Amino acid sequence: MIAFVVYVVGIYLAIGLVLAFPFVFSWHKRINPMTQNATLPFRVLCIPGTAILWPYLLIRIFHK
Amino acid sequence: MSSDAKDSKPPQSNDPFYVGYLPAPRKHRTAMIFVICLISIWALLASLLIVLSQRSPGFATWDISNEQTWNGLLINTPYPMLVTKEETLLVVSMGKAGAHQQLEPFFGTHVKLMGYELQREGRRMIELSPDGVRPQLIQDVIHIDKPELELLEEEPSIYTGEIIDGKCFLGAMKPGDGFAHRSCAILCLKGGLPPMFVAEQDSDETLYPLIIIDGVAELPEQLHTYVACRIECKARKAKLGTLPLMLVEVDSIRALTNMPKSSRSQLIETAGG
Amino acid sequence: MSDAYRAVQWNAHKRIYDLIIALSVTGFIALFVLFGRVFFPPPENISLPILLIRAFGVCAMLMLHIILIIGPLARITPLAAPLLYNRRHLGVSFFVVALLHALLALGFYGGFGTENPVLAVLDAPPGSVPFEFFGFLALLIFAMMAATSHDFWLATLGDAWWKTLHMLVYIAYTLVIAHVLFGALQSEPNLIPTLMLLLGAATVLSLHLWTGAREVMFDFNRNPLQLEEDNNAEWVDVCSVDEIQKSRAKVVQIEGQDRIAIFRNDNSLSAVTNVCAHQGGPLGEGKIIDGCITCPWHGYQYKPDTGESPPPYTEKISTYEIRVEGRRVLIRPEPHPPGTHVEPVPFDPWLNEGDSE
Repeated sequence: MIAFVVYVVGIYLAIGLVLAFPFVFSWHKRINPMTQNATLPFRVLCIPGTAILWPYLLIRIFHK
Repeated sequence: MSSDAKDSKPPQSNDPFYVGYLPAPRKHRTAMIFVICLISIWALLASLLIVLSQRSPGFATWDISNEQTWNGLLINTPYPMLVTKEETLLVVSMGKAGAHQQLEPFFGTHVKLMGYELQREGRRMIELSPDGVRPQLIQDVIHIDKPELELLEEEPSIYTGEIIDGKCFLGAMKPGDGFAHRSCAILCLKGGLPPMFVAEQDSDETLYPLIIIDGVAELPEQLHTYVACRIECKARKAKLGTLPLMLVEVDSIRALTNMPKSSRSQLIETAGG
Repeated sequence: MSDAYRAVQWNAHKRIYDLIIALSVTGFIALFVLFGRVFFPPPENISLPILLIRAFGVCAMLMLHIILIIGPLARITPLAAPLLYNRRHLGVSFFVVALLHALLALGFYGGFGTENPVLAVLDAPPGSVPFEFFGFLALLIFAMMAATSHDFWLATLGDAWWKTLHMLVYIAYTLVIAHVLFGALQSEPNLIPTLMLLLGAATVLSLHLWTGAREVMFDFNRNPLQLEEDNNAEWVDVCSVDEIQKSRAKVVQIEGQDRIAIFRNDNSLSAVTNVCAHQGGPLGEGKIIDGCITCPWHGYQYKPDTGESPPPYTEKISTYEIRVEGRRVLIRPEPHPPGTHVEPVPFDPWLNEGDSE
């Protein structure tokens, strides 16, 4: 049971990490236009949050 | 606008108001210095209290800076062991692994082992170097007989204590017992390290015996749930050469509460000091 | 405040704050290990990895308690505002310390074996309390909080969702208490660490209860001003002009409405919502600085007449219609959309002896 949870969390975060790159370099500006001129360190800093919240962010993009 | 600026800049001293990006009012600065001092004192006190309240891990060493050599007879029952002229030593591999595989071709022969000594209160163990086993040259061999099992008790008695893995407990991890170490102990036992018993009351010559269940030292999978927990079991104490053993009756193992008695730490203190 | 996003918006105070955090954390870890070595000399020594696991664990616990105490403390005294101002950095630092504790534990307890280190530690055989798993769950929550500790996430998720996400800290805190209580403390016969843990939990709980009770009393003591039914809910008499100090505000509550802050800028009055658009800070406890309403939490500013942040910032808050009749202040309880211009209402402060500045 615990192993299952750990695997699910791991796979979820792995998908998020892959998706984080298009998000921080392009997709985020569709949700929040202010990220257009954001600095590179800021984009890097956004990677963990994006990897965690990616389903929500995807919904936000495709709902528009 | 100009009157506004006059009115509020700088913030009036009798009405201090903190804004992060403006210079802090004196009152706030004083308060922060006070808070930082308070936290520092508390942190100092807390670290001291917690460090001092730690239970002693006992007197054990793992001498990884000094590779040593041993000569003797290598046996595989109930566990890979080297029988030297003086004593019977458990042999384990590096990492969380037993030495079965590494020693496989050499069981029953006289060998020269190179490795590192683990030691707790006189109970010693060899951690084998990666290529630390050689057959002994015929002319060097001093013949050693295979030791016989010697029962110290005819009838089983009831023992209370904890199952741990021998390598961590003899010095590789300190403390190598206790509930926090549980996952490590189980991992070690799964890797083939010898299970030992830390009894709450024990005599000097039978301290930390190797656990033997049905003639072997590998702990069956279903008993892993008892590792690092306080248990009670029926067992007979025995000896193989100088190595203390405990012949445990599987069905008698029973979990008690997790809280250990402080008697054990007292025992360690008196045994060491 | 936001014009273009940057990784960290440092200023003098945040730099000092962060420097203190860094020095305290490294100092604490060093001291813990040093004490550990001095009081348990070889061959009685505690292994260095274990000492480090404990040092990071205890440090994380202390930091978590400080973080949880700052909130209610800032409600009790405005002097705690500097602690609150940069609490985010303290939170992220705490997460790093907790993460190091977890990585060390995974490495040394789960490593060097034949199994996946994460599963070896988290998925221990049944029959015991899975205290490691409690810690893992708590760490996931802290990771989520640390990862979203940026105004970008506040703007993206929206105030309500962001707040909800960060309220999970109380669940994580409970998990941490269980993690320690059913883990490390199970093998320590000494009662001191247990007592310290309980003392910490009691402090956090009581401070939260106290400030919570104060909030309830605030609402209770100032019964929401009733709307007079025959008056079409047009204007509500809320207070006297003499109750409002210069450059400060009075907070009022009208039945069925959010709290309203009535600010006095020189000799005119403006009414805005009491809730800051940034993190929901209590604007009414703020002050007018450089002609702008300034939030006590993070210094976000709004013009009293429009509720807009001065350029280049774009935050907006709701404004209310306000009127002065004699010495009484009247408010129309329906808020305007955020950023609506409402002309400040002048009044004569010299008419009454109450204000003789």
